[in-house]
Amino acid sequence: MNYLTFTQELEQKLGLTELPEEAKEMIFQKLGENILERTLLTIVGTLSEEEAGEVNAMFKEGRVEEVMNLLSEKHPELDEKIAIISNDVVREFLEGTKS
Amino acid sequence: MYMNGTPRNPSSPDSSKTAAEIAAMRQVLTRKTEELREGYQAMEEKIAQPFPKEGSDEFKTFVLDSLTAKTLSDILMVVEKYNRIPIKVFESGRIDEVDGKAMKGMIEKYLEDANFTQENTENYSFDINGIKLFKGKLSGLLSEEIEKRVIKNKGGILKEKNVIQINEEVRQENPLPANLPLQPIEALNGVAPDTQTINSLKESKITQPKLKKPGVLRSLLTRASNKLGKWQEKSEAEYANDNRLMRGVITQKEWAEEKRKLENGDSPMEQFEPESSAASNNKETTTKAESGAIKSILKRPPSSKINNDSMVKRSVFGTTSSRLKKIFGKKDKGNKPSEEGAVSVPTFGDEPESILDKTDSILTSLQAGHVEGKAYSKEEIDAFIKRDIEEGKRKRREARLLKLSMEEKKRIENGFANVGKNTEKQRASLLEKLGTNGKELLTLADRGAKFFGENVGWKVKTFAGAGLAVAGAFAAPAAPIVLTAIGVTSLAVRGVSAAGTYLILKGILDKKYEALATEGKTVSDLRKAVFGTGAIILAATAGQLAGYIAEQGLSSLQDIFTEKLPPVSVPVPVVTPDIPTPEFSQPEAPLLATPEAVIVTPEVFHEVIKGQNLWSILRTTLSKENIDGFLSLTQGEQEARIHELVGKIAEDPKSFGIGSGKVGLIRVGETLNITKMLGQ
Repeated sequence: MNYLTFTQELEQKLGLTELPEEAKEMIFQKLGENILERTLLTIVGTLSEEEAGEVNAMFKEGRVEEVMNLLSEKHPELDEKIAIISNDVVREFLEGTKS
Repeated sequence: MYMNGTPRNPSSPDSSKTAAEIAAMRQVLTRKTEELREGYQAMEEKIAQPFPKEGSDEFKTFVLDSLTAKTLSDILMVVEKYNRIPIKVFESGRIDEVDGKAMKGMIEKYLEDANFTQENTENYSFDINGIKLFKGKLSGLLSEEIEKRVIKNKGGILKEKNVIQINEEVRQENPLPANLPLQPIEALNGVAPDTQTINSLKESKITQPKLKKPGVLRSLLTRASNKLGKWQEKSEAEYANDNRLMRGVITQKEWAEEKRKLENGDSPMEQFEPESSAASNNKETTTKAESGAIKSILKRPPSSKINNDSMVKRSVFGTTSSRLKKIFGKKDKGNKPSEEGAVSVPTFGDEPESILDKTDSILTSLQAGHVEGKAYSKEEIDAFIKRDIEEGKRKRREARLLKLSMEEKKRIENGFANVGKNTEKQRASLLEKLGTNGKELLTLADRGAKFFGENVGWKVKTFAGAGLAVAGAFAAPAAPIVLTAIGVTSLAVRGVSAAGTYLILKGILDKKYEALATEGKTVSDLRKAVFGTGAIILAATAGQLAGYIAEQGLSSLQDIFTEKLPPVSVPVPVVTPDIPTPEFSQPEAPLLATPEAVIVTPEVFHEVIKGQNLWSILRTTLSKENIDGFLSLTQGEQEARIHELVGKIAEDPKSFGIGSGKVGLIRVGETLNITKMLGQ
């Protein structure tokens, strides 16, 4: 299995195999954008108001590593969350295409 | 003669009008002015309403109507009903208010501009109360409208000249803003409009017809432009200032100075896209010496790179700025009238093939693991990114016109409509809960996402998107891309230089990757590919791709591309679901509390004990009984299965025995109907 195999499987799962490459690429990009947006929303939604203030200050001051440390503490399951969000988005897309 | 502020003497011998003619004109104009004023006041009273308070039913209706609008007209009807709509200028985060009708008029003017494209809509992005109205929905509808017009025009005017002549007749049909105060026209009294206003009009984003001589219409248009475009011009100047900072064209100090000037209203509007003197100087001098500086910094171990950030700022910032500018190029601000008052029209025909063959080979090499220190020059790679972004723009245009069947189009649209609906629901729900800091953080995140979307090449973005989309099925390889996006957010906010952010983020990526190896976990091909994508995105957005590739021989990240591991299954980590249980105290519970064995027979119930949550109960039950072959599913599929069940239970938690009515809140002693939960 490699990256191409994964994407080919995804294409099959989403029923995109017959589409032009440009359309497939656009669909992947839009799926990615949605997953990214939801992940960021999830992160923002999980932080308390006080923590959000801290992260704002860290961003503005360029203390990226501290942001990552804070998120690691608050989101130790970040990977799993992304996996769930990713599944959700793909499933919703699939459901939508069948409706 | 008006430009120098010299008053006109109506009685001068060279005047072509008699005093009687001037008096008659003045009388006519005064009457027309009064009529216009009364008309607009009546219209404003009749139509405009104060914008509803956030959280009110009317506000929710506004949000719903705007997000579900099907056409541009629909959304403009929603907008024009209100005056004093709070506008958050997307890039600056500044709050302003705008009249809905004025906004509509502005959009209509943009539509007349044939240079208006999806790309430069982003220069006019607004964020209404945190809802990405203009950025997403409205710009999408605008884009559709433009497409329609372009397609319509292709058979007509475009075929002949590729230009649209904008004449006075067309312009005069545009309504002036409803609340425009029409004072007596001073020009007719011999007082010239001030120079700044005329200059502002010249540079205004709103194209004005070229009039042969200053007159009533020009004065009216000047006032209209001044009033209508006042907030717009200031906002755009602020956006341009932020954008220059983000792109590294100016330093933070220069940005702060410009911002102060804008706030005090003493910054000339024509300086939308100046290159700072510092940046200009750097551009000429950041060649071999600074390239050497980059190399020497990149060759240090990660820790020293992070600690030397201040040095990076001093020695590399200029180079990075110049390179960013070179890579991303000057943005098309659109709407620049030509000397003859005509604007060119973008053509949608085939563009000449670029050096894409080479860029393909770079990415293919990166993905396939054949870089091995291959020396591509900085120029080649910079050109690659630039061309890839251009190629992406072309593909986006083409993709909009793809000859998909109606059925296919509808299917894809429905898919994304379903996804978008849920994303917007999550956003709307979140917005209701967030405080000031949370909203600010969300704005920063949006800004990062926008920067990411604008500045990453088409192929890399596709690669990242597909990587994120398959993440669910292969258990958690997507964190590097999300981490990179967070880093890019910081880059967009730009508290630190691009080079500094790059080095810090790269250090974190290195550590994360190394941690996997030291834990003894096998690094799957996909995981490596996603790490690689994160690194490429980071390098590309920070303008460090050339340095990144050159560094491969020294970095632990080389493993991503060169290590050849046999294909293996992804390790299955223990899932820690995020289901909050605020009232579910579990101080004495063991960390790995095991629920009592559950045998699934018709009508099996489970009594909740300390340390359990819904997710763990479901997982344990499904695993123990291997229901529907649960154990043979991949990690991602198992999670999806549990998630699906939780979603179903969330529709009516009480019917499953959850007394709180919330799936995240189960209490010790509650009896859950497992059979029903599992749909047995």
